Amino acid sequence: MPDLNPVSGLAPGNTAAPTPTPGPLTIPASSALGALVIDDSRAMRSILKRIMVEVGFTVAEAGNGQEALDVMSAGFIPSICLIDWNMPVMDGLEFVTLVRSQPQWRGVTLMMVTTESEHGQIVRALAAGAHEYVIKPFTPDAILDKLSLLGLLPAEASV
Amino acid sequence: MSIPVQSDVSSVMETPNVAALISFEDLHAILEQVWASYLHSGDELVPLAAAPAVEQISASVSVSGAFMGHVVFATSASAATQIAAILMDLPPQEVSEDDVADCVGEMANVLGGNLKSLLPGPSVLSLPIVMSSNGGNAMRWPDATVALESELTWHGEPISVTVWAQIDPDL
Repeated sequence: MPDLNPVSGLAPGNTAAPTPTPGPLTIPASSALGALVIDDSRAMRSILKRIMVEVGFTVAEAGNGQEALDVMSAGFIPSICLIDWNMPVMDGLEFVTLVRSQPQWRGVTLMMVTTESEHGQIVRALAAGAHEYVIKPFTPDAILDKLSLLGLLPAEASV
Repeated sequence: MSIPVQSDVSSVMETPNVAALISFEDLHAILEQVWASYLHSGDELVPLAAAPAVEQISASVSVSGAFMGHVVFATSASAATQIAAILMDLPPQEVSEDDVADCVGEMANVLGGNLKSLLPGPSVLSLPIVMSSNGGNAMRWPDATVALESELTWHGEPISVTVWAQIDPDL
Protein backbone atom coordinates (compact mmCIF):
# COMPACT_ATOMS: atom_id res chain seq x y z
CA MET A 1 0.00 0.00 0.00
CA PRO A 2 1.50 3.36 -0.99
CA ASP A 3 2.12 6.12 1.51
CA LEU A 4 -0.87 8.37 1.74
CA ASN A 5 -0.72 12.12 1.62
CA PRO A 6 -1.27 13.30 5.21
CA VAL A 7 -3.28 16.25 3.98
CA SER A 8 -5.58 14.80 1.36
CA GLY A 9 -5.50 11.17 2.41
CA LEU A 10 -4.75 10.22 -1.19
CA ALA A 11 -1.98 8.15 -2.70
CA PRO A 12 0.85 10.10 -4.41
CA GLY A 13 -0.18 11.37 -7.81
CA ASN A 14 -3.83 10.77 -7.14
CA THR A 15 -5.62 14.06 -7.66
CA ALA A 16 -9.14 12.67 -7.37
CA ALA A 17 -11.44 14.14 -4.78
CA PRO A 18 -11.49 12.50 -1.36
CA THR A 19 -14.60 10.62 -0.38
CA PRO A 20 -17.39 13.23 -0.35
CA THR A 21 -18.36 14.45 3.08
CA PRO A 22 -22.08 14.12 3.73
CA GLY A 23 -22.80 17.64 4.95
CA PRO A 24 -22.33 20.25 7.63
CA LEU A 25 -20.27 19.52 10.71
CA THR A 26 -18.26 16.82 8.97
CA ILE A 27 -14.73 17.56 10.00
CA PRO A 28 -11.84 16.41 7.80
CA ALA A 29 -8.93 14.74 9.53
CA SER A 30 -6.40 17.42 8.59
CA SER A 31 -6.64 21.13 7.92
CA ALA A 32 -3.17 21.85 6.54
CA LEU A 33 -4.73 22.73 3.17
CA GLY A 34 -8.21 23.10 4.46
CA ALA A 35 -11.11 25.17 3.27
CA LEU A 36 -14.34 25.77 5.14
CA VAL A 37 -17.27 26.51 2.84
CA ILE A 38 -20.04 28.36 4.68
CA ASP A 39 -23.34 28.81 2.84
CA ASP A 40 -26.94 27.92 3.65
CA SER A 41 -27.39 26.62 0.10
CA ARG A 42 -26.24 23.04 -0.35
CA ALA A 43 -25.97 23.72 -4.08
CA MET A 44 -23.57 26.59 -3.51
CA ARG A 45 -21.53 24.54 -1.04
CA SER A 46 -21.37 21.75 -3.61
CA ILE A 47 -20.14 24.10 -6.35
CA LEU A 48 -17.49 25.71 -4.14
CA LYS A 49 -16.39 22.37 -2.71
CA ARG A 50 -15.83 20.95 -6.19
CA ILE A 51 -13.68 23.95 -7.11
CA MET A 52 -11.61 23.74 -3.94
CA VAL A 53 -11.17 19.95 -3.99
CA GLU A 54 -10.08 20.15 -7.64
CA VAL A 55 -7.05 22.24 -6.63
CA GLY A 56 -6.14 20.13 -3.63
CA PHE A 57 -8.00 21.47 -0.62
CA THR A 58 -9.63 19.32 1.99
CA VAL A 59 -13.07 20.83 2.45
CA ALA A 60 -15.46 21.06 5.39
CA GLU A 61 -18.92 22.54 5.07
CA ALA A 62 -21.19 24.57 7.31
CA GLY A 63 -24.72 25.84 6.72
CA ASN A 64 -24.31 29.08 8.68
CA GLY A 65 -21.82 31.04 10.74
CA GLN A 66 -22.59 29.23 13.98
CA GLU A 67 -22.05 25.83 12.40
CA ALA A 68 -18.77 27.12 11.00
CA LEU A 69 -17.65 28.27 14.46
CA ASP A 70 -18.57 24.82 15.78
CA VAL A 71 -16.44 23.17 13.09
CA MET A 72 -13.47 25.39 13.90
CA SER A 73 -13.91 25.00 17.65
CA ALA A 74 -13.90 21.24 17.13
CA GLY A 75 -10.40 21.49 15.69
CA PHE A 76 -10.67 22.09 11.96
CA ILE A 77 -8.67 25.28 11.44
CA PRO A 78 -8.87 25.97 7.71
CA SER A 79 -6.45 27.96 5.59
CA ILE A 80 -9.43 29.78 4.13
CA CYS A 81 -13.13 30.24 4.80
CA LEU A 82 -15.45 30.96 1.88
CA ILE A 83 -18.36 32.78 3.44
CA ASP A 84 -21.86 33.64 2.25
CA TRP A 85 -23.38 36.79 3.74
CA ASN A 86 -27.11 36.11 4.11
CA MET A 87 -27.60 32.98 6.18
CA PRO A 88 -29.96 31.97 8.98
CA VAL A 89 -28.79 31.68 12.62
CA MET A 90 -25.53 33.60 12.07
CA ASP A 91 -24.75 35.61 8.97
CA GLY A 92 -21.39 35.93 7.29
CA LEU A 93 -20.56 39.37 8.64
CA GLU A 94 -21.08 38.28 12.24
CA PHE A 95 -18.98 35.18 11.59
CA VAL A 96 -16.13 37.30 10.19
CA THR A 97 -16.32 39.63 13.19
CA LEU A 98 -16.23 36.75 15.67
CA VAL A 99 -13.37 34.95 13.95
CA ARG A 100 -11.34 38.14 13.84
CA SER A 101 -11.87 38.61 17.59
CA GLN A 102 -10.17 35.28 18.33
CA PRO A 103 -6.34 35.44 18.26
CA GLN A 104 -6.01 31.69 17.70
CA TRP A 105 -7.76 32.09 14.33
CA ARG A 106 -5.67 35.05 13.19
CA GLY A 107 -4.08 33.00 10.42
CA VAL A 108 -7.36 32.03 8.78
CA THR A 109 -8.01 33.83 5.50
CA LEU A 110 -11.61 34.99 5.13
CA MET A 111 -13.21 35.40 1.71
CA MET A 112 -16.79 36.54 1.28
CA VAL A 113 -18.68 34.79 -1.57
CA THR A 114 -22.02 36.51 -1.73
CA THR A 115 -24.65 38.29 -3.80
CA GLU A 116 -24.17 41.41 -1.66
CA SER A 117 -22.58 43.77 -4.18
CA GLU A 118 -23.31 47.21 -2.76
CA HIS A 119 -20.14 49.19 -2.18
CA GLY A 120 -21.11 49.88 1.43
CA GLN A 121 -21.55 46.20 2.17
CA ILE A 122 -18.19 45.32 0.65
CA VAL A 123 -16.54 48.01 2.76
CA ARG A 124 -18.28 46.66 5.89
CA ALA A 125 -17.04 43.14 5.24
CA LEU A 126 -13.48 44.23 4.56
CA ALA A 127 -13.51 46.49 7.63
CA ALA A 128 -14.72 43.56 9.74
CA GLY A 129 -11.71 41.55 8.63
CA ALA A 130 -12.52 39.80 5.36
CA HIS A 131 -9.51 39.57 3.06
CA GLU A 132 -11.28 39.13 -0.26
CA TYR A 133 -14.72 39.48 -1.76
CA VAL A 134 -16.33 37.50 -4.61
CA ILE A 135 -19.76 38.44 -5.92
CA LYS A 136 -22.13 35.70 -7.08
CA PRO A 137 -22.50 34.50 -9.76
CA PHE A 138 -18.86 33.49 -10.09
CA THR A 139 -16.92 31.19 -12.35
CA PRO A 140 -14.36 28.68 -11.07
CA ASP A 141 -11.64 30.88 -12.55
CA ALA A 142 -12.81 33.83 -10.45
CA ILE A 143 -12.36 31.77 -7.28
CA LEU A 144 -8.97 30.46 -8.43
CA ASP A 145 -7.82 33.97 -9.31
CA LYS A 146 -8.64 35.10 -5.77
CA LEU A 147 -6.84 32.09 -4.28
CA SER A 148 -3.83 32.95 -6.40
CA LEU A 149 -3.89 36.58 -5.25
CA LEU A 150 -4.06 35.38 -1.65
CA GLY A 151 -1.15 33.01 -2.21
CA LEU A 152 -3.33 30.05 -1.36
CA LEU A 153 -3.36 28.28 -4.71
CA PRO A 154 -1.31 25.10 -4.43
CA ALA A 155 1.71 25.31 -6.73
CA GLU A 156 0.63 22.35 -8.86
CA ALA A 157 -2.82 23.81 -9.47
CA SER A 158 -3.26 25.88 -12.63
CA VAL A 159 -5.61 28.81 -13.04
CA MET B 1 -57.97 45.48 -0.15
CA SER B 2 -57.69 43.86 -3.55
CA ILE B 3 -54.26 43.12 -4.94
CA PRO B 4 -53.57 44.21 -8.52
CA VAL B 5 -53.04 41.15 -10.68
CA GLN B 6 -51.92 40.94 -14.28
CA SER B 7 -54.73 39.68 -16.50
CA ASP B 8 -52.30 38.38 -19.13
CA VAL B 9 -49.17 36.77 -17.73
CA SER B 10 -47.47 36.84 -21.12
CA SER B 11 -47.63 40.61 -21.32
CA VAL B 12 -44.94 42.93 -20.06
CA MET B 13 -45.89 45.43 -17.39
CA GLU B 14 -43.50 47.92 -15.88
CA THR B 15 -43.97 50.57 -13.29
CA PRO B 16 -42.04 53.69 -14.26
CA ASN B 17 -39.83 53.80 -11.20
CA VAL B 18 -38.47 50.26 -11.57
CA ALA B 19 -38.21 50.44 -15.34
CA ALA B 20 -36.06 53.52 -14.98
CA LEU B 21 -33.68 51.59 -12.75
CA ILE B 22 -33.64 48.11 -14.27
CA SER B 23 -33.95 47.62 -18.02
CA PHE B 24 -34.79 44.33 -19.68
CA GLU B 25 -31.22 44.36 -20.95
CA ASP B 26 -29.98 44.58 -17.34
CA LEU B 27 -32.26 41.75 -16.28
CA HIS B 28 -31.26 39.52 -19.18
CA ALA B 29 -27.57 40.31 -18.70
CA ILE B 30 -27.79 39.16 -15.08
CA LEU B 31 -29.73 36.03 -16.07
CA GLU B 32 -27.21 35.18 -18.77
CA GLN B 33 -24.34 35.73 -16.34
CA VAL B 34 -25.92 33.33 -13.85
CA TRP B 35 -26.56 30.78 -16.59
CA ALA B 36 -23.03 31.05 -17.94
CA SER B 37 -21.46 30.83 -14.48
CA TYR B 38 -23.41 27.94 -13.04
CA LEU B 39 -25.27 26.02 -15.75
CA HIS B 40 -22.83 26.32 -18.69
CA SER B 41 -24.86 23.85 -20.74
CA GLY B 42 -24.52 25.74 -24.00
CA ASP B 43 -28.29 26.09 -24.24
CA GLU B 44 -29.45 29.65 -24.54
CA LEU B 45 -32.36 31.32 -22.81
CA VAL B 46 -34.92 32.20 -25.46
CA PRO B 47 -37.68 34.81 -25.02
CA LEU B 48 -41.11 33.24 -24.70
CA ALA B 49 -44.31 34.83 -26.00
CA ALA B 50 -46.74 32.99 -23.73
CA ALA B 51 -46.24 31.03 -20.54
CA PRO B 52 -47.65 27.49 -20.72
CA ALA B 53 -49.53 26.23 -17.66
CA VAL B 54 -47.23 23.65 -16.13
CA GLU B 55 -46.27 22.65 -12.64
CA GLN B 56 -44.13 25.49 -11.39
CA ILE B 57 -41.43 25.81 -8.80
CA SER B 58 -41.04 29.39 -7.62
CA ALA B 59 -38.60 31.03 -5.26
CA SER B 60 -38.67 34.60 -4.04
CA VAL B 61 -36.40 36.93 -2.14
CA SER B 62 -37.59 40.22 -0.70
CA VAL B 63 -35.74 43.52 -0.83
CA SER B 64 -36.31 45.78 2.17
CA GLY B 65 -34.97 49.28 2.60
CA ALA B 66 -34.89 52.25 0.25
CA PHE B 67 -36.60 49.95 -2.25
CA MET B 68 -39.30 47.56 -1.05
CA GLY B 69 -40.16 44.65 -3.30
CA HIS B 70 -39.66 41.03 -4.24
CA VAL B 71 -37.77 39.09 -6.92
CA VAL B 72 -39.27 35.80 -8.06
CA PHE B 73 -37.55 33.06 -10.05
CA ALA B 74 -39.90 30.46 -11.47
CA THR B 75 -39.55 27.49 -13.76
CA SER B 76 -41.13 24.10 -14.44
CA ALA B 77 -40.51 21.12 -12.21
CA SER B 78 -38.61 19.52 -15.07
CA ALA B 79 -36.27 22.46 -15.63
CA ALA B 80 -35.81 22.87 -11.87
CA THR B 81 -34.66 19.26 -11.68
CA GLN B 82 -32.21 19.86 -14.55
CA ILE B 83 -30.88 22.97 -12.83
CA ALA B 84 -30.45 21.11 -9.55
CA ALA B 85 -28.70 18.22 -11.29
CA ILE B 86 -26.16 20.60 -12.82
CA LEU B 87 -25.59 22.65 -9.68
CA MET B 88 -25.37 19.62 -7.38
CA ASP B 89 -23.44 17.55 -9.93
CA LEU B 90 -25.94 14.70 -9.61
CA PRO B 91 -27.76 12.52 -12.13
CA PRO B 92 -31.29 13.96 -12.56
CA GLN B 93 -32.84 10.79 -11.16
CA GLU B 94 -30.93 11.29 -7.91
CA VAL B 95 -32.13 14.87 -7.39
CA SER B 96 -34.46 15.16 -4.39
CA GLU B 97 -37.22 17.67 -3.74
CA ASP B 98 -34.96 19.27 -1.15
CA ASP B 99 -32.22 19.61 -3.77
CA VAL B 100 -34.66 21.32 -6.14
CA ALA B 101 -35.87 23.71 -3.44
CA ASP B 102 -32.30 24.52 -2.45
CA CYS B 103 -31.19 25.22 -6.00
CA VAL B 104 -34.23 27.22 -7.08
CA GLY B 105 -33.91 29.23 -3.88
CA GLU B 106 -30.26 29.93 -4.60
CA MET B 107 -31.09 31.07 -8.13
CA ALA B 108 -33.55 33.57 -6.66
CA ASN B 109 -30.93 34.66 -4.14
CA VAL B 110 -28.26 35.31 -6.78
CA LEU B 111 -30.67 37.06 -9.14
CA GLY B 112 -32.16 39.09 -6.31
CA GLY B 113 -28.78 40.17 -5.02
CA ASN B 114 -27.67 41.36 -8.43
CA LEU B 115 -30.94 43.16 -9.14
CA LYS B 116 -30.79 44.79 -5.70
CA SER B 117 -27.50 46.38 -6.65
CA LEU B 118 -29.34 48.28 -9.41
CA LEU B 119 -32.04 49.58 -7.07
CA PRO B 120 -31.92 52.44 -4.56
CA GLY B 121 -30.08 51.48 -1.39
CA PRO B 122 -29.30 50.74 1.28
CA SER B 123 -31.47 47.67 1.48
CA VAL B 124 -31.29 44.10 2.71
CA LEU B 125 -32.17 40.86 0.98
CA SER B 126 -34.28 38.22 2.69
CA LEU B 127 -33.61 34.52 2.68
CA PRO B 128 -35.42 32.82 -0.23
CA ILE B 129 -38.90 31.36 -0.01
CA VAL B 130 -39.75 28.48 -2.37
CA MET B 131 -43.21 27.42 -3.48
CA SER B 132 -44.56 24.79 -5.82
CA SER B 133 -47.79 25.31 -7.70
CA ASN B 134 -49.77 23.76 -10.51
CA GLY B 135 -49.67 26.46 -13.15
CA GLY B 136 -49.93 30.20 -12.81
CA ASN B 137 -48.12 32.40 -10.36
CA ALA B 138 -49.40 31.45 -6.90
CA MET B 139 -47.21 33.94 -5.10
CA ARG B 140 -48.78 37.19 -4.02
CA TRP B 141 -47.89 39.91 -1.56
CA PRO B 142 -50.21 42.47 0.00
CA ASP B 143 -49.83 45.97 -1.41
CA ALA B 144 -47.43 44.88 -4.13
CA THR B 145 -47.68 44.72 -7.89
CA VAL B 146 -45.68 43.19 -10.72
CA ALA B 147 -43.22 45.84 -11.84
CA LEU B 148 -41.12 43.89 -14.30
CA GLU B 149 -41.57 40.44 -15.76
CA SER B 150 -39.67 38.41 -18.32
CA GLU B 151 -40.59 34.96 -19.59
CA LEU B 152 -38.28 32.77 -21.63
CA THR B 153 -37.61 29.14 -22.46
CA TRP B 154 -34.66 26.88 -21.76
CA HIS B 155 -34.58 23.32 -23.11
CA GLY B 156 -38.12 24.05 -24.23
CA GLU B 157 -39.14 24.65 -20.62
CA PRO B 158 -40.42 27.93 -19.23
CA ILE B 159 -38.23 30.27 -17.22
CA SER B 160 -39.45 33.55 -15.78
CA VAL B 161 -38.20 36.31 -13.55
CA THR B 162 -40.59 38.77 -11.93
CA VAL B 163 -39.87 41.86 -9.85
CA TRP B 164 -42.66 42.88 -7.49
CA ALA B 165 -42.78 46.38 -6.04
CA GLN B 166 -44.61 47.65 -3.01
CA ILE B 167 -47.36 50.11 -3.92
CA ASP B 168 -46.61 53.55 -2.51
CA PRO B 169 -49.76 54.59 -0.60
CA ASP B 170 -48.82 58.25 -1.04
CA LEU B 171 -49.14 58.10 -4.84
